[in-house]
Amino acid sequence: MSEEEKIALFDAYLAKELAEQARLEFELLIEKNEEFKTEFEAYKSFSVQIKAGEEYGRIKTKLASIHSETQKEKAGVLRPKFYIPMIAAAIITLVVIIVPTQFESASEDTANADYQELSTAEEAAEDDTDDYSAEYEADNINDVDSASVQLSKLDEELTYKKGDPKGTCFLISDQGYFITAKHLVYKKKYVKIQQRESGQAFFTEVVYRDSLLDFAILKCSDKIGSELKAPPYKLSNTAPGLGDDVFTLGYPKTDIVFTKGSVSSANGFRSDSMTYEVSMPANKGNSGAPLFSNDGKLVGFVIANHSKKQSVTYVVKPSFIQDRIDNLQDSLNINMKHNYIRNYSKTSQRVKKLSPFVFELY
Amino acid sequence: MNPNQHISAEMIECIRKEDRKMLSKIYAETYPMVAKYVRENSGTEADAQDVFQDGFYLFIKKVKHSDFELTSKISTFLFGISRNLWLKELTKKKLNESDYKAELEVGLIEEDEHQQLAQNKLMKKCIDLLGEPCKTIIVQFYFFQASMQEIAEKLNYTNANNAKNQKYKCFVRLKKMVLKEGTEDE
Repeated sequence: MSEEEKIALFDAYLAKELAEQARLEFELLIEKNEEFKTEFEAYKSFSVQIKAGEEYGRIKTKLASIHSETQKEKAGVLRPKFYIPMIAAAIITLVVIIVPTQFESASEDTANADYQELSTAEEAAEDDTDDYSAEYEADNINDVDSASVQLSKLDEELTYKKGDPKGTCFLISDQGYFITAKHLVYKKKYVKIQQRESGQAFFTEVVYRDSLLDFAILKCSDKIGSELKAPPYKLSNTAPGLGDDVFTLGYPKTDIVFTKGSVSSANGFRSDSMTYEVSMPANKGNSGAPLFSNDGKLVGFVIANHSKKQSVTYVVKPSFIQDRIDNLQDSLNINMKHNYIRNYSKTSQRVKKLSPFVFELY
Repeated sequence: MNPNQHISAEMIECIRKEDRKMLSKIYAETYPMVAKYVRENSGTEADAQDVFQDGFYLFIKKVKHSDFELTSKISTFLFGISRNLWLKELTKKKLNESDYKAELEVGLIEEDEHQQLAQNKLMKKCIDLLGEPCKTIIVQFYFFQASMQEIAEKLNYTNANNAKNQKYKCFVRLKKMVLKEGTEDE
C-alpha cells in the first residue's frame, strides 16, 4: 500500500465511510500489525493537532478583533518591540527626515533643505511626523470588520498598465512581503504594484510603517503570495565597505533602470547611522529601489538623495532592515529562508534574474 | 454577567458557545490588568496582547471541558493564567530566571498545556504558510470535516478524486513544514 492509499484508508475509517466488511478487516490489520497501528495512531493524532491549531487560530482572530473593538482609543498601527518613546521618535523623524518638496526653494535655511526624497508624486512628501491623522486611525479600526472586503480587494487581479510609477518596491520573502520607502505610501492603506515582465499587477496592504526611518512593509494576499517565487538575493549582514561597487534597479520611468555606484560614506545624511551614502545618480522614482552588491547580496534600499550635491544617494543599511524584521517577528513573521544567491559571470545575467522581483509602485 | 462575579451556569454556557458579547465583556474587564502587569515586567503592549489572548484561549478550552470548575472570579483566574504564560515567556528568554521560577511553581497551567499551546501556535503558523489552495483544503477537511465531494465543489475540482489527490499533497507539505519549523524553533 502506498502512503497515499494508506491515508485515504485512514480517512475513510475515521469518517466511518468503510463498509462493514472493510471496517472489520481494517481493525484486524491494526490489531495484528504493530507498525501499521503506529502509523494510524500518528496520523490520527496529527489530524487532531491540525484541528486544534486551526481552532486556536480562529479563537485568536476573534479575540484580536474583540481587542480592537474594546480598546478603540488605543488601537493603532503595528509597533515593533523596541523601546523608543514615541515622542522622541517623532522628534527624530522630524529632524532627520522630511521636508515638503514644494517648499524646498523657500526653506534653504531649514535643517533638511538638502535632503530630497525620490518619489515622482508631489503630494508624497507631505509633513509626516508619524503621528497619523484621526482619519487614518479611524480607517484602521474598521479594518477588522471589513476583513472580507479587504481580502477581495487584495485578491483582485489587475491588468498591467503602462504609466508613471511613483516609486519602486521589491520582494523580500516569498510569503508576499515587499519593502519600500514609507513616504511613498503616506496615508495609504493599499497600494497597487506591478511587474512588467511577469505581467503581474495587484494591490498590497501597508502592514508596517516605521516610526523612525523612511521604511514600510507591504503584503499581498496569500493567494497571490503563494504564486511568487523566492527572491534570488539574501539580505546582507553588513553594509558594504567604503569604495565597494553597488547597483540598484528602480523605476524612475516605466522601464526598469539599472544604476551603478559605489559606497562613498559609512553614514547617511548628517551622519545618520541607520543609513549610508552611495555615490550614484538617483532620480525620482528610485525611492524604495533595492541596492545590490556585485555578488548578489541585498545591501539596502534607496530612500533619498542630496538635492544640491550631485550623485549623493542615501540608502538604508541592511542591518536596520534585519533588525526591524526580527523585532516584528511576532506580528508579521517574515521568513526569508527560501531566499537564495547564485553566481553569475556577467552583471547583465544577474540583473536579468533580479529584475522580476523589483516592482513598480503606484 | 459580570466577570468579577463567580461563574454561573449561564456564563459557562455563553463561553462554551464563544458568545461574542460575553467574551468582549470579559476581555474589556480583564485585559487592562494583564497589560499593566506585563508592562511592569519588561514586556510591551504587543506581548501583553499575545499572552492575554493565549490565556483567554486556554480559559475557553478549559471551560469547554465538561468537568471544569472555577472557585475564583473569572477575571482573577484569567489574570492568573496570563501571568503564568508571561512568566514562562520570561523564563524562556532567560531574563532573571531565578526571580520568576518560584512564582511559576503555582500550577495554574500544566506543563502539557504549555506544550499544547506551543504546538497549536506552530500548527497555525504552518497552516497559514501553506498558502492557497492548500490552506482551504486542509481547513475544510480537518477542521470542518467536510467531505471530499464538498471540497471539490468548493474549489471547482472536476471530481472528488482530484480533491483527494490534492489534499494528500497538501497534507504531506504541511507535515514536512511542521517538522522543519518545529525543529528550527528549538
